[in-house]
Amino acid sequence: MPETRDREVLLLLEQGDPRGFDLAYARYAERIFGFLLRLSGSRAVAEDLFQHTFMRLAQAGARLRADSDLRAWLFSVARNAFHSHARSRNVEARADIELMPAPRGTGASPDSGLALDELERALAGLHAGDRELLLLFGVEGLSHAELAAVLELDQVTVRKRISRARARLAEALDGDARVMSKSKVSDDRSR
Amino acid sequence: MTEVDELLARLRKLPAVALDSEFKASLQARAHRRMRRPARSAPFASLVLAGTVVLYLGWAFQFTSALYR
Repeated sequence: MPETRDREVLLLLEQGDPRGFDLAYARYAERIFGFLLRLSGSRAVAEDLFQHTFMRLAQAGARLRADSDLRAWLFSVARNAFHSHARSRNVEARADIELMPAPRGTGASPDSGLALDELERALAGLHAGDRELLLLFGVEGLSHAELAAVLELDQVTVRKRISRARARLAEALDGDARVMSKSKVSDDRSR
Repeated sequence: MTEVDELLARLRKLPAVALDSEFKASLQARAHRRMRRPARSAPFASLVLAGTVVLYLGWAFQFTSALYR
C-alpha cells in the first residue's frame, strides 16, 4: 500500500521541485543505504549504487504517478542496480563483513550488540536472493504486496520464498551458535 | 512468540546506517542540478544520425539518376 505521506513528495517531484528530492532523501536515504550496504557487503559499492538510485530519482521522479509507492520504487531501483552490478562483476554476493554499523542509540546492552553482530554475520552468509528478501521484508518492513512489486513475482511465491529464507537464516544462526559454544569450550579447556 | 516471529523481531532491530554529510551534500547538489536541467527535446546523437541518413539518400538518388542520363 503506497504511503499517503509520499503523495506530497511525488507532487513536488512531478513539478521538478528539488524540495521533493530532499524530502524523499530525508525519508529513505538511510534505509536504502543500509539495504545496499548489507546486500553488497561493501561500503564503496553501496555508495555507488546509492548514488545511482537517487540520481535516477532526480531524473525520473517527474514521471512517477502521484499514487506510486515511492518506497517500493526506490528499493526496486536499488535492487536492480545491485543485480546489474553483480552481473557485470560476475560476483555471487556473499557479503563480507567489512561494514556492519554499530547500533545507534544508548539503550543497547553489550548483549544485544552481540546478538545483532551475530545476526549481521548470519545474514551476510546467506545467498543474495535470501538476503534481499529478508532485508526487504524483515528489516525494512515491506508488505508482501510491495515485495511482489519490487521482485516482480506473485505474492504466493513471495510468501514461499520468505519462509524458505527465514528457515535458512534460522539454520545459519543455529550453526553460528554451535560454533561459538564450541570455541568457548575449547577456550575454557586451554586455560 | 514463535521462533520465526522472534527472528523477524530481531531483524527489525537492525539499525539504519548513517551517511556521511559531505557525501549527502554533494549528491543533493548533483540531483538538484539534474532536476533543473530541461529535458532535451531530441538527443543530439539522433539528430546526427537522421542527418547522415538524409545525406546518404540524397547522394544515392543523385548517383542513380546520373546512371540514366
